[in-house]
Amino acid sequence: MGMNKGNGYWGKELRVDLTKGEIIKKDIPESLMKKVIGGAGYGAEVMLYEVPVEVKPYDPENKLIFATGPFQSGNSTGSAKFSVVSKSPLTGIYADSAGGGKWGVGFKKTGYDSIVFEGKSDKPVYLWINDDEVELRDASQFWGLDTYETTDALKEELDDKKISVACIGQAGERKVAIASIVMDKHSFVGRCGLGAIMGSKMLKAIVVKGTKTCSVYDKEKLQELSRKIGKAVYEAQKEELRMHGTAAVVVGTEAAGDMPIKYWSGDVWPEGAEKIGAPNYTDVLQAKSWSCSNCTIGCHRTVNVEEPDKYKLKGAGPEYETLGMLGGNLLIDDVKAIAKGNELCNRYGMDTISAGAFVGFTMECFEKGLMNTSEIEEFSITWGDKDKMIEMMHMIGNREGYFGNLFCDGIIPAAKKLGEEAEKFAMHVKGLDIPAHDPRAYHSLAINYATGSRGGCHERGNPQVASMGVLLKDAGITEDVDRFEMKNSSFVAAKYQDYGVLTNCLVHCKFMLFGGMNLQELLDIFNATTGWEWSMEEFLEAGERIFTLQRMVNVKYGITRTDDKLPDRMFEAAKEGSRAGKAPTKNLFEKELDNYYLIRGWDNKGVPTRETLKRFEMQLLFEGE
Amino acid sequence: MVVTVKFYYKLKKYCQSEDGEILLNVKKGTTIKEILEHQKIPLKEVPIISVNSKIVTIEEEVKDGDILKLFPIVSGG
Repeated sequence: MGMNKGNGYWGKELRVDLTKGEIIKKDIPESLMKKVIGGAGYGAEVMLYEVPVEVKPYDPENKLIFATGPFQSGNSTGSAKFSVVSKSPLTGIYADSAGGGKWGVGFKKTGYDSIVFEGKSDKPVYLWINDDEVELRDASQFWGLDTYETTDALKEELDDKKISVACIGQAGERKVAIASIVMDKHSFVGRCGLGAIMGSKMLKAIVVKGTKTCSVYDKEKLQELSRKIGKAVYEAQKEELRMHGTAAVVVGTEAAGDMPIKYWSGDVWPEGAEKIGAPNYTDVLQAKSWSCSNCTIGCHRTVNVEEPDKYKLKGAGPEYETLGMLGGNLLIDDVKAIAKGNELCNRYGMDTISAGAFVGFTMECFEKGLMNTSEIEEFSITWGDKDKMIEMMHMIGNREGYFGNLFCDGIIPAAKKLGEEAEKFAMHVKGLDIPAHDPRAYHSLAINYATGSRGGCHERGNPQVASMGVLLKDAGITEDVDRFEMKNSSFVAAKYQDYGVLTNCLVHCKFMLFGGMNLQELLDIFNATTGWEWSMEEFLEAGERIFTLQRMVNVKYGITRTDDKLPDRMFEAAKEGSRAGKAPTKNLFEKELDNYYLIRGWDNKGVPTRETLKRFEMQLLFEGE
Repeated sequence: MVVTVKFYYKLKKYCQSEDGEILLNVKKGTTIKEILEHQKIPLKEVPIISVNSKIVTIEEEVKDGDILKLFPIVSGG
């Protein structure tokens, strides 16, 4: 029979105390999941109630949460994802980052929905989960290896090709604040330095191998929906994302003025974009599709560079963000060099967006004479210098040398060290380097970036897609949005943030939107999985509720309106190109921010009001006052 | 005079050639707007146009040998 009558959850999690070396299996009630769904929502709940403000990111008391949602039980297209949550060493606030590949669905098959790590091991360990066999094992022999070496070594050690590995490299071990977590050399929990939290706990890897199937409510219905959506997204993307990966959009994003050029100070770079984007990307890098589990798009790339020797590599290729941040951002138009820089970030285990931002910031610092101490002035990296970019990746990834030490805690302390002028052009929001999408090309990104839950982020809210016909009709976005319109951008940003939160809780891939998938279909999959029969109103309200939950974590950690801002450069219009003369103004920004807080039910300081907390049944948060 | 017109992304559906690129014979003084109308491409679907890699408006007059690129709005992850 098609019906399973499950709900997509095991109702069980692992609590791992790394100090004591103890593992407890904890029951998680369905009632909690109805509040937070799972993934990043569950992680936010743990952060809010279990990690007080005085706990610093690298303290043993900080918690690190790996969480799936109900979708990881159903194998529908776009569900090969999971979320990781903690207090970020880069920003000092709430952070969640999502990973893909096969680890999330692999972990779900072991019989648990989530893992919460706390404490700190006194020696390197990895967590081994093979259904009911869960144990911490010595990882000393892997400590010091990069993520690719670690993954291969674990597979050899365990003599099992079916395992899935999530691990850190040297950047995580050495607590570089942009360290990532790398799954099977393929997918990346990239942003906010969550790999450094693992490093601070001496946790090298989490290896999973599961054989169990978590029941969903209506398996037959779910399969029917998945087939339909899988076919639609395949047809929509077979000549773009499937054929070329996200390199497909490079030429178009530069034409839109969306790609960062010269650390956000340049306007256009069409020849460069043609060189590093598709189809040249695909030809030069011999790029092929690499799918996550159950996905019919297969947007990731595997690439092969045979010469020159200094760029030789085989493995995961650069995505759009990396092409933007190591390409246009640095004026580097050699796609092989970018692929090498990308590979180093992957191996050391660090975020390509922030790493590329650090290099761009450095190029500008040299240009302005701000790095002219005897210690480093000879390095003198100029725009387009690909080999010095690669040198910097080694230094930052190893936390060595001048740049390793300058950037190890992120852009804010680095800029502070260099002085007031550097602080003015450091391009971040709340310490998270701005990703490769320019708010001057899509003005809804201004409010989106400023108010995002983890800092400047184009996925925790992706309102830019509203200008390309990818709408949220059920949420009230029924028409294409003028990309240069500030008025009402607060509403647009809020709705895509709510959608973004839902995807990070379910956990689901936003690229299904590019296959024409809409909110109703997402809700249908959710109801077929959980059996909860939520209405669209309840579904959208969950997004609002969990976004406010994440905000409450940040309020607890000290965030207010003064932090909801953009760097000045984002208000300076281009002189040429398709966004010439157009930039958000500070005046309109503040007006829209006022409006945004009203939409959210937050006060003028950006703090959720009592009424809002009551509405979302979070009144306990103020009862203690 | 002859100009090249390249159609990007979903605009390829308006291109007579499968590879998304055509050559057009046009009179001197022809504007981009006239080319789009002649090719039956709705103007609002082409918000971004470049000629020889410079972003232009639809009022721009083309010259012999120009390479026109027509873009919809795209965004990536």
